Amino acid sequence: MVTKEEYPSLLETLIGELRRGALSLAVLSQLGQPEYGYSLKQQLAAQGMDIPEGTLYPLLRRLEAQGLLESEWRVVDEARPRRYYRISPQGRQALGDLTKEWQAISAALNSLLTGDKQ
Amino acid sequence: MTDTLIDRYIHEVGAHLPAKTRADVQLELRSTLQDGLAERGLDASKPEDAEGVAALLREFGEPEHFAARYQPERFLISPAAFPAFRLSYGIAAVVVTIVHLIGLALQINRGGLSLEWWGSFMGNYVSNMLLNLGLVAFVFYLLEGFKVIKPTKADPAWDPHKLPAIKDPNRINRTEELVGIVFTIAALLVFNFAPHWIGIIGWDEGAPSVFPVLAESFLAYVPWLTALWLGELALKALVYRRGRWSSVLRAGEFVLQLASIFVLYTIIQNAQIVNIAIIDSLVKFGISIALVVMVIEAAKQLFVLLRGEQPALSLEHIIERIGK
Repeated sequence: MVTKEEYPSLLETLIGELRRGALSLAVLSQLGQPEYGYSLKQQLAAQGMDIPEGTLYPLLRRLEAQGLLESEWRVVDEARPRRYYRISPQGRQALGDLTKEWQAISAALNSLLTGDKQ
Repeated sequence: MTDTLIDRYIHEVGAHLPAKTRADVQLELRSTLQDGLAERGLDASKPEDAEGVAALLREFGEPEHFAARYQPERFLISPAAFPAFRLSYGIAAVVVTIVHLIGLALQINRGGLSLEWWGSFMGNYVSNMLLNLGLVAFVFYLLEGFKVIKPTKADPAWDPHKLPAIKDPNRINRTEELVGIVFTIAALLVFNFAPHWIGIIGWDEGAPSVFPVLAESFLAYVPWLTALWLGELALKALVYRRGRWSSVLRAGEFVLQLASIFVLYTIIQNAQIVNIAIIDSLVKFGISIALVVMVIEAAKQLFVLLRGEQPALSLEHIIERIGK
């Protein structure tokens, strides 16, 4: 049993666990076109999915290591090199499968949380 | 000045990353930080923007924590290998304990249980247990490092019928109790009324006869043993009748165990048990080992007593509790 003082920390952990699986899906969904880390972060935040830098960049690396993303260094307009990420063919397949799974989970949870029994 | 702050941050992150990916991650981090500065209209070289730069770095978090997220979760012993590790360490711990208990039994037999000896004995025991823990952990670390141990996959052919039965620690085996009662009665009768029956069988004038071996000094303790056996008999009869252990019966068993330990220790320290010296030493050594086992059993009994009754899992026990 956590104390009143410990509750915020517990809540933070629970929210972290709740979001963790969804972050990969969110990132994959936005990388149909190449994006660099900072622009991706802004794009996600603009749609309500704010991912801290310390989470987003390691996640991009992990997804790339798993073969779901591809990346390359590019120098575009400000002569500053940026690493651009885009979804790989395998990532596209994973995105489709994960989307179906997410929709099923989401429907089930909505039903559970609103008390609708089918 | 603030350039140095960005540089110092990137350098510090790199210090916590493996060499293989360090340069690449640092380059991306620098590019990202520059994007962040540009978006906020900050100039890293202007002292008046120092707070803004610090605020940006705070969003990225402490360098060590930022770098840690690039690393996979690491374990000395992974969750997949932990059950095997615990079993292996348990076996090693039992072996170390048995070796020490044999040493303890020998020392009891010698009769030299000084405070100094206990100190050295416990010190050795603890250090050997820790050494074993370190060795077993090291072996598992190597086995996992070389991928000898891999996570097991769920077996689709798993058969629920092979699940082990639930053990009820308070339930008794009536046959075992009955055999115990018979042997206790036999010991009572023989040691009190026919101690001369215990001996070496030989031939005397063409007929078999028994040469008694129990020493007079041991027979002086028979009333003590008789009191213990009567207590044991009463307890076993109660347990047999009830069909299971209760807290009161366990407390009685614990008292009897302590009394038995005291009586047996007194006997091996003060009396000759058998008239033949070499056999006497062997018997005393055997009793010393039995004493060590009895101490462990008494400790277990005390643990069960202090822990109290656990919630029962058997339907039979639940019905019994509801009936109370």
